[in-house]
Amino acid sequence: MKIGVVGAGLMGSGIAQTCSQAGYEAVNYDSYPDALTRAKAGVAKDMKKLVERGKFTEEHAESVEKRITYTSDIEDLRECGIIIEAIFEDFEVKKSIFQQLDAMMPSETILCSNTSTISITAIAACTNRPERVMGTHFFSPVPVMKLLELIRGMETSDETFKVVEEFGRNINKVVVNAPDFSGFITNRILPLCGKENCKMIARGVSPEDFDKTMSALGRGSMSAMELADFSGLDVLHGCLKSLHAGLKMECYRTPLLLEQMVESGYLGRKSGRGYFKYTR
Amino acid sequence: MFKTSVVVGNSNGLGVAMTLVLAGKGIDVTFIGDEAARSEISDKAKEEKLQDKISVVNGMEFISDVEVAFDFSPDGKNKKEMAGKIESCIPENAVLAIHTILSDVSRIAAGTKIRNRVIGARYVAPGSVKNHVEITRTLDTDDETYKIFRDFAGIISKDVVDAPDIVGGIYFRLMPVSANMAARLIMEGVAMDDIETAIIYGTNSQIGPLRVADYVGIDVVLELLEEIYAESGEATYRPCPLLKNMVQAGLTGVKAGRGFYTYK
Ligand SMILES: NC(=O)c1ccc[n+]([C@@H]2O[C@H](COP(=O)([O-])OP(=O)(O)OC[C@H]3O[C@@H](n4cnc5c(N)ncnc54)[C@H](O)[C@@H]3O)[C@@H](O)[C@H]2O)c1
Repeated sequence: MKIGVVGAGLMGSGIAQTCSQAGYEAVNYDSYPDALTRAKAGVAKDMKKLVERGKFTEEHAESVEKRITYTSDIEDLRECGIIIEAIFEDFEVKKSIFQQLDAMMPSETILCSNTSTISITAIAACTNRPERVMGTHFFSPVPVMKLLELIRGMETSDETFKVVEEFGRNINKVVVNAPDFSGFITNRILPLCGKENCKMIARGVSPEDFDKTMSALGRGSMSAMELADFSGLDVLHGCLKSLHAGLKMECYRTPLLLEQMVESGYLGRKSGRGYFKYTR
Repeated sequence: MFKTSVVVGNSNGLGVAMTLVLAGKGIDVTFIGDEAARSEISDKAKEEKLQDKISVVNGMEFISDVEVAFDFSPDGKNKKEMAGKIESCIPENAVLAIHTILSDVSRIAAGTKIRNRVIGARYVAPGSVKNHVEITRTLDTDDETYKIFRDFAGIISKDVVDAPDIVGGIYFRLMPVSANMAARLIMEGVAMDDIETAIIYGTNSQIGPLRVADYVGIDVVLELLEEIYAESGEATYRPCPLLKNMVQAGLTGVKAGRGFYTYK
């Protein structure tokens, strides 16, 4: 079975790479040719790194690159059995691509969305095959992060879920069954912690002391403050805003310090200043 | 340098007492506790051949010459009274360090007469004593006390961090947040294993929020949430009804053999 990936940005290119690494042929479509060039170069760079580190043989790396077709012609998706959409996070934009795919693809093709916040039920309802639409929520960087949250819309059929679940396992992901509400599982909990962490800093706790405390029982690869700076405080800010809007739960209200930091351009590592300062 | 210290408490204070002695700085420790804790620490001391460094007693009359006293008595109404009792037995210039997770420290220090010598010390778990301690100044802790205790805490733990004087401090203020939301997700119909798996693989952690809650104790998590919610009114801390049901049913976690998960 061929896998189609719509959108060749951060997530789409990673999804195509992951499928190819597991042996699937992948077609990565994007309407912006620049995005395709960048995606292709990104995968090539990653393959080179994996070969250098001895993780992949040269032949394997080469075959991974070969199994991905980059295209700006949507017609090239026709032979795909599953299509995963990873374009901009905007309902109208997603709606129009799902309508387009619904019209052109055979009726048995399964259409998935990588949306982080938009209702799968709502996306499915834009098509004439809501039973064959569901959510596949990957985590960045896709080839590295093992988790895949599967989301059923109200109309998603058991058959569709089974096929996508099996596909998820085939591409070596750990799959979980998440509800069709903003944030699914992981992003219901993490931004909430991110918010409380921020409030702890607002109380005068130093980010260093904070990280030491939260890793007192054992350290992950990155501690909480480092991770917040790495993924970007604007991302946390955006997450909280959409959770608050989507779930109407007061607990996702953005804390004042986070508003101030984002307003001030203190976005984390990428801007040179977040909870910590970085020299570039 | 320091020569003597006392730890008052149950098995909670045991880790600190042992770590202090094992630090090899020549500090003599007196341990006051209930029968179970006394026999546990006596056995440990014998095992490590440290009987002469640690005296295990059953009364406050033996601590009139200590420099630092730790109160590890259980959290609750008696905490304030206990602080007053220990204070009345130790020298005037000794430091009293209070361990609490369910209260701020100032409230407990209010039970003492020399409040400027009282400070908070919070350990995340017995297994983390060597790594880490949160210390907390109360409304009245003076600079000298802070300095003395910071040095002393550094003998026991690698990292000494400053925590605000709020219920839970740092770690126990944040730990219930994920547990509470995880419980809410269960109520929304998400499977427990899916929550654990999502957090473990979505964040590269070793353990998910439900098992962490089981280890800390569902009753402790609920008390923390109730206490913080009552004081702050923040929706984040509004206790999930599922946690209340579990505590009422006695499913308090690892210690009860059953919380979210079953343990033997
Ligand atoms: N960034 C993350 O960490 C993350 C994690 C999980 C899910 N998501 C979701 O994945 C999706 C993609 O996110 P991203 O970070 O990869 O975004 P991105 O901006 O990096 O990539 C989006 C790509 O989609 C292309 N595109 C936009 N409209 C298109 C259209 N109509 N037809 C074809 N291509 C189109 C763009 O050219 C771009 O290359 C979003 O829905 C986002 O919410 C992102």
